[in-house]
Amino acid sequence: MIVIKLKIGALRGFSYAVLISGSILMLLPFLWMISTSFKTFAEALAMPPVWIPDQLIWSNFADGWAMAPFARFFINSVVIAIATAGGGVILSVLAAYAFAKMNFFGKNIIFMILIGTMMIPGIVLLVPNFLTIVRFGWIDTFQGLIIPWLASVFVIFLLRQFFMSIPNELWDSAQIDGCGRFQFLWRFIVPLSIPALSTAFLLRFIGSWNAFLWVLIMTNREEMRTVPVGLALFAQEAGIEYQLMMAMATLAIIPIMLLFLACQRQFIEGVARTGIK
Amino acid sequence: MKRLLIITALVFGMGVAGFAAVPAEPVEIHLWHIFVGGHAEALASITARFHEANPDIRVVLTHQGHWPDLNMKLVAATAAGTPPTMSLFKTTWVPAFYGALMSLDGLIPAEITDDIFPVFLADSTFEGRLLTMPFARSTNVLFYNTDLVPEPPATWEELLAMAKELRLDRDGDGVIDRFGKGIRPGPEQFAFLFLQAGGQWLNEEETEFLIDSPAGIKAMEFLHELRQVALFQTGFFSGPFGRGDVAMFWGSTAGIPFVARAAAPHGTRWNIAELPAGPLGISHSILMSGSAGIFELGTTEEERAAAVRFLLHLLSPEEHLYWVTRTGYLPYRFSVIKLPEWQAFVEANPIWAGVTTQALLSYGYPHHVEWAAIRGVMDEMTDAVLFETMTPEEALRWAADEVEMWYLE
Repeated sequence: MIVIKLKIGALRGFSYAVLISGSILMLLPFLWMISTSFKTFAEALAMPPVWIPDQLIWSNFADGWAMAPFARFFINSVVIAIATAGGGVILSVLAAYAFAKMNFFGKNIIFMILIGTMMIPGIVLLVPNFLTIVRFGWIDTFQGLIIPWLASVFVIFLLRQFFMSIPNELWDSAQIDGCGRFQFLWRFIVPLSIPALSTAFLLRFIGSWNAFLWVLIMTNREEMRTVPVGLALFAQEAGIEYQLMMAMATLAIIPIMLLFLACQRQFIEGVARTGIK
Repeated sequence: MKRLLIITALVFGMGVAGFAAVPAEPVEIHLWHIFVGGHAEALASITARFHEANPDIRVVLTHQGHWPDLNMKLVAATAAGTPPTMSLFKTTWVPAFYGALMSLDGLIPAEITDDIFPVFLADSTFEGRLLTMPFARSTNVLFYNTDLVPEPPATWEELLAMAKELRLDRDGDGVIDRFGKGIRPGPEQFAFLFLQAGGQWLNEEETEFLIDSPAGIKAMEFLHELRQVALFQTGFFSGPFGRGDVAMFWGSTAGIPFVARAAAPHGTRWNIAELPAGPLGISHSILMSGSAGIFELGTTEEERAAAVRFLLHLLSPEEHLYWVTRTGYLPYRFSVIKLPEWQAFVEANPIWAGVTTQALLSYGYPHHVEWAAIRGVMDEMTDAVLFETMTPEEALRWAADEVEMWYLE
């Protein structure tokens, strides 16, 4: 008995050691980012890397902030990310519900085609999409930065998988009580799917928050640009101001961290229940 | 009635006077570029002086990311018919925008064109039409640590010998801590070695890519040999060089401000020399970075005229001097390098003597319409050798076949 307990303990200890090592490995770039945001230019280039700077250079934050209108970039990023994530989840809920709970002609084929579009590299679509945005007169506008990203095949797929795990008997009972499709979606499916919806919101928010190329291509005016485009200002043709870039990257990560901490439980539950990892 | 008439006349007169006093809206032109930090500040100062002298024109400077981002944005905007008035270009892209760009022939006075280094002007000319003007050109030079390398190597052999000799295991742990030479990926280093070995890119009919010629093999084998003893990394070399961990590296003149900042805290003393000469005794380099062009597509005559005025302002000796002394980009006007201000600048900053010499020894790539794609193949080819997935001969043959199959008729 003691031997078995010891074996289990050793196995658990080994698992923890592997997991902790993996976590540290994953955290290293993050720690390097924070540490570098306090370094001098020379310390940022030092080899082997300096993990704890001699002196904390707080002015990196002020200097980075002063290099471009970062306040405006943050406001734009927040507006665009919330609108894209919020609007995207609402639209995706409707599509996912139809694919999960309704029967209509060609449902599976349409769904397969939708999934197939995920195979097309985004870069291929950039020029045609740019032409569309120009025709709509949406260059340098919030609608040009938000509306094309409201529909997300991945989120539709994620929510569909979640909705499929909700028993159909619920719909039968709701129907008997006189519930319509939309009422059922709003009163039953949505409240039961909070973890999946939070996950979808978070994923869309992160995707939008980190978007670089789309924003760069669809905007010309500095006041319409976002944080990732601002971060590119620290990389020059023949060198990078790592310490300033990392200072601004540290600030940029804060909203994502807060959002993740706020819906951490739902996020993990959502990912676990949809079977997508 | 008379009073009414007088009042009406007065009001009308005031209106006319007021209308006449309102200045016309300035013509707005847009320049897309890749500059950030000190480079962007220098361009902003130049533009501010232009605005002072030309209140009827407003130049909007827009940073469009790095070179590939700018290229992608230009492709998309040109396809949509909405390019900017002006942009910075890599000259290898120019053929792709041939029909959309305005010819500058006859718009730039001969006193300026005759004063520009001929190779720079030739690199701005495509099919006999002057389509861009040099502005932010850079080239590869040899950065060297003067404490470790009192005399820079003059030939390939000397460079290789020094690269071997200067390797040092400081703490005796069997790992080299200091390298004689640093090498990064990228096709330009092969390209200048190829030119130095007497290579010719294409045959006269432009049907054959001559990269696997004896000159190509000689250049690639030398690069491969050097790579065996060099520190090979993908990052910039300003850091290791500034710390004294690398004694020499080939790098862009645009990196001068970064090298200076990285070297200062370590007290590393350094200089710039022209590239070591190849087997033919020549030190050619490749012209890099950008030239400025004006779009005909989607712009009005008034905007194009304003853009030409701004271009002439950029080319003026005063602004050219201001630009090159603050950025690390190359001087390209003979009159500027004869100016007492330039001479004083070089005396105070001796590295610039090497930069100027190398500028005069630099050449552009051929102006083939597919050169941007061909350069991409060369990039893969150089990577294959530097990452040792192909031998020099295999890589050259692969590149020649690839280019001839896809990009040459």
